Amino acid sequence: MHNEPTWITLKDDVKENSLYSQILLFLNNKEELVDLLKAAGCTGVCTGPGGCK
Amino acid sequence: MYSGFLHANFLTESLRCYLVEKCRPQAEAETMQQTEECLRFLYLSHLTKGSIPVCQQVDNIWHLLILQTKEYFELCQNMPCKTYIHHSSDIYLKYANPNYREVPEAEAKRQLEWLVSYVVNFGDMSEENIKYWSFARGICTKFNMSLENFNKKLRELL
Repeated sequence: MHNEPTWITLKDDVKENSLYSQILLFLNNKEELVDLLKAAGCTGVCTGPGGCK
Repeated sequence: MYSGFLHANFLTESLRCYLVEKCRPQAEAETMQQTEECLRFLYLSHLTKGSIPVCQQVDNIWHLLILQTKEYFELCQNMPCKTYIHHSSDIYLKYANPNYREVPEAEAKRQLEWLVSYVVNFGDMSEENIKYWSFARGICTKFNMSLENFNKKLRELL
């Protein structure tokens, strides 16, 4: 009944993808990113084996 | 794709009641939706390293689960990862490992992998669940992208 989790590893050619470019643009503007995340109710960044601030 | 709800398969009745009570006066249905998204985070997060932005509500559920140490340990053991999902503060990591931040290109690739993996494991992002994934919602807002188009772009990467 319990399916196994699947992680999709993307190839390096994903850098040609428009969504990748948009995410990169988003990440490169940290101030806007933080403001937008805060507006969405996010106080920080949670990680898998890492943590959250 | 995962069939059914993670909370139905992995959350004990006592943990469910505990979360519902701690989150009152929030409606039980909302608490269980947030719990489902938290479990989805735990279900996939051991497969990657680095930040996965979640909203405050999902983060709160994670913190509430961690406080019940024995039950949280058992929950992690019972999930497919079968390993304890640690939590550490971003501020702590800043001091413990000053180089923990990824370069933007690597982070962008991994964020995209997370979103594609989410859709593969749990189906398309919907109005009900995207509100708990701040990064995905932020992308749609910033680039004025419909949910349908966002899901389509994610599926094109498969």
